[in-house]
Amino acid sequence: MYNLKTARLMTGNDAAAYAVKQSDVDFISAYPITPQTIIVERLSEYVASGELHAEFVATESEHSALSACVGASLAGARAFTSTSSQGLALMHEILYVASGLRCPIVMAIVNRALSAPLNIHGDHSDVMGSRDAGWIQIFAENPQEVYHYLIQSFRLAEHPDVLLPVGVNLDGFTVSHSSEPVEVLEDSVVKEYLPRNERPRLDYYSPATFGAFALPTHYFEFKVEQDKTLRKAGEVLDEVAAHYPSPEGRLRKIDKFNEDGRIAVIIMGGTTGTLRYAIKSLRFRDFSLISLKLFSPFPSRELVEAVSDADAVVVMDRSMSPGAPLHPLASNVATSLYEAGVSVNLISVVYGLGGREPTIKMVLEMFEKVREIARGGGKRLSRLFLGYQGDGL
Amino acid sequence: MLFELLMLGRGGQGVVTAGRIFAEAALKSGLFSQSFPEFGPERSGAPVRSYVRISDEPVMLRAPIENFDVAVVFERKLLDHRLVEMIRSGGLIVVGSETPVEFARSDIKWFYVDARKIVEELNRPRSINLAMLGALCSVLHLVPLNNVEEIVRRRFGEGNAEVVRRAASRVVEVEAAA
Repeated sequence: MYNLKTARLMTGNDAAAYAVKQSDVDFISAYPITPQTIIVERLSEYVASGELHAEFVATESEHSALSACVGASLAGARAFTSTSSQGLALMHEILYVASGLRCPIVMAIVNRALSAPLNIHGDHSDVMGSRDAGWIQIFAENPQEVYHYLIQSFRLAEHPDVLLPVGVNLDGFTVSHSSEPVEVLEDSVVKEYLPRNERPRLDYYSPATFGAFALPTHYFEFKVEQDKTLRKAGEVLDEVAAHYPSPEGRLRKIDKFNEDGRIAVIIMGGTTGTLRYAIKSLRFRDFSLISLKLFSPFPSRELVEAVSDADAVVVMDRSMSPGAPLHPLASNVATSLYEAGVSVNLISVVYGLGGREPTIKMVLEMFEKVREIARGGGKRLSRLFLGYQGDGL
Repeated sequence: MLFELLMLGRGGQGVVTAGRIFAEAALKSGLFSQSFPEFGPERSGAPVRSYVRISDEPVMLRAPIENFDVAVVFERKLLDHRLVEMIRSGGLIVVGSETPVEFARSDIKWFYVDARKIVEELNRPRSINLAMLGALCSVLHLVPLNNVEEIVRRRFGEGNAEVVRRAASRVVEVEAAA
C-alpha cells in the first residue's frame, strides 16, 4: 500500500525515466515519437545535468536507435530505448536482431495505434505487430507498475540464463500522461538490486563473433534454442521478482482480483483499473479479473489454473488480428485452454482501438451482455466489440 | 469517496499544470489523486481541459471523466450550457470573470473570481491558472490552501504564491436570484 507522505506525483512517462535513471543505464538511444517522447526527453535532461552518467545518442530514426542499442549492448553496455507505434514498426527488423543476438536491451513501449488512419492514441496494435520478435513483453497498469517493472526488467534481461531484450508496455496517454502517486526506492537500493554481471561481449583482447551467418545446417537450431530460452525466462522472472526490494512492486505473471467471481475477465494494461473499479465499487462481484502482466513468454499454466472453473471466460484485446480466427490475446488463451484440455464458454472482446478508452457506461453494458451469454451456458465462442459504433455485427 | 474535477482554459494558460498542482496538493494532504490532460494535439489559445480525481483510496479508474463534481472555468467565454449540465447535482463551479456569472442551475453553487485583474495587479500575467487554483481551494475545502501555496512557492516563487492567496480572498459566491 502507498505511503502518501513519501509518494510523488508522476506520470507513466516520468516514472519510466526515473526508473531508468536509477537503473544506471550506460547507453540510451532514441528518436522522439508521441506519446513516448517525454521519457527520452527526461533522460536527456538527466544526462545533461550529470545526474545520469550515460551516453545519449540521438538518431535519425527508430531503426537506427535500436541498432545503436544493439551495438552498445554487444559491447557490454546496459542499453535502453523507448518508442511507440510507427517507431516500433520501423524497428521491426532490428527487434529480431536484438533477440537473436541475445542483447539484454530494455525498451519502454508506450502503446499507440498504428496508421492508417493516422492516430496518436493508445492501443496495443504496435506491440502485437512485434509479438513474434522473441522479446519478453511485460504490461503495466499504472505509473507505479511502470516504475517497478522497468527496474526488474534490467535484472531479468541480464540474467545469465536469459540474456534477452525486454519490452515494458504502458498504454499511450491514459498511463503515459496520467499523473498519479508513485513510491520510489532509494538509488542505492536499486543499484544493489541491479549488479553488473559478466556476459559474452565484444572484447578486443578476447575476440568473438556475434551475428554470424547461419546456414540451413544451423539456423533452425538457433531459433529453437532461442524459443526454449524465452520460455524459461518465465521461471527466471519469479526468481528475479522475489528478490525485488519492494514486496508490493514484485512482478507477477498474472494478478487476480475478486477471485470468487464466476465470470473471469482477462485483460492487460491501463483499462484493468477501470474494470477493478467497476467490480469493486459498482457491485459486479460475480466477475473476477485477471490482469496479465507477462504476455511473452505466455504464462499458459497460470492462466488456465485461474480460469478453468469459470462459468465464462472473457478475453479483452486492445488490438485486432485482421482475418485471423481470434485476436492476439484471445488466441493465446484459447490455445492454452485447448492444450490443457479445458473447454469453456469463451467471449472475445475487442476494445479501445485508437484510444477509445472504455467509459463506465461501456464497461457496465459489456458486463450485462457477458452475464447474459454466461447464463446461456454452453462451451462456445462469442465475439463482442466494446464501444464500436458501426453496424453489421 | 471519489471526487472528479474539470479544469477548462486555453492552451498556454497552464490548465494542465493547474490540474497537476491540485492533484499534488491533494496527495500532500493524505488523499489519493490522479490528474490527466484531455489527450490530443494542443494549440495555443484553443480550449484545453484537464481532469483531476481525488479519493480516500487508490484511484484505479482510468475511464474518461464525463461528469464532474467541480468545474473550474478560466474564462467566462468558455462557459457553455453543455458543460454546466455535466456538473453533478450538489457540485460547484468557479468561473474567471469580472462580473457575477448567470445563475443557470440552482442545484450547484456558483462562484466567480476576477482572475485577470489579480494577475495584472501582481504583474504575473501568465499566472491565471494559479489564481483559479487559489479561488478553487478557498471554496471547495477539500485540499488545504496552504498545500497549494507551498507547491506554488517552491516551483514558481513567492510572487506567485501571492496570486494564489489573493484569489482565495477575492472569490465571490453568486447569490440565487430572488
